[in-house]
Amino acid sequence: MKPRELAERRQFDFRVVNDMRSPIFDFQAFRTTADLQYDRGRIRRVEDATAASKYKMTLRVPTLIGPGKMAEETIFGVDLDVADYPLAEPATWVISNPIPWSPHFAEGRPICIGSEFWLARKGHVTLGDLVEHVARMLNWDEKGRGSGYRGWNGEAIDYHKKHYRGRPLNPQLVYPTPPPWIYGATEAPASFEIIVHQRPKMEP
Amino acid sequence: MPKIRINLLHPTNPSEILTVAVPQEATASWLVQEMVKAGFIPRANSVGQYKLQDTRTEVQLNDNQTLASAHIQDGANLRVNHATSGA
Repeated sequence: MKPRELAERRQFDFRVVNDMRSPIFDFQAFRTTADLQYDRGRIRRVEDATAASKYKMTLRVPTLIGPGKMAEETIFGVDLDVADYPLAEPATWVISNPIPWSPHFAEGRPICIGSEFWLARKGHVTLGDLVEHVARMLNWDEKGRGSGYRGWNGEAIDYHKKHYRGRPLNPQLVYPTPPPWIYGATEAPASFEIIVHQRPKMEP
Repeated sequence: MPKIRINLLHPTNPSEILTVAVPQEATASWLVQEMVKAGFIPRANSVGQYKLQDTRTEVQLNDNQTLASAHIQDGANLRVNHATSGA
């Protein structure tokens, strides 16, 4: 990606997450890792977001931090400044402590977002999608990794299966989702025009 | 907004087919939502979800992917699969 295209993509990502702020999601954007670390030089406007590559994300999604123990929020970092972004997934790490008790989170390791979530989509995925994805993982509402998956914490998987029977921690949670405008239209898609509904013939 | 005609194959009974005209900008998740509204499929449970798959190419659409970006053509058959998740 050329420098100008990368700058536009960064601005686009900022716009997406900026339109997702809600009581359960907020973020701060920065130019450098040091800025993020010392909370200085926050990028607050879309106009300035061409250089936004480091994000401090806050998700107020109650999640397990141990058997029967919950944390109300999780803070994690995202670094878009990786080779081949957005084809390559951004770097991620957990900032808050304690670390979510989950197969996808471990101290000192990137968040296991799954290759099928980012890499397989070949750039057709946004920073906003990542926020929603992490929110789902925190709520144990992630889909598609299969029953054999153990990740970094098989014990947590077993606990979740036993106590939640594979269900989300909060089935009623409303997730932060990317704004509708990213799907290419400023209005909802036109009506779903049914031409014919062919049903199987019933036996007499 | 240009529309294409597609055939949606029921997840449990492929001989039940819903033929619709939809914009090429329609996403997979929007199509699923409309199929539920139309009563073609029931709402997925909390540990399940629907996926759409082009029967010609076997390509499965991502939830937010549009028909145009998935190169779904006029007259395509899309199988509606119901998947359940692990952890």
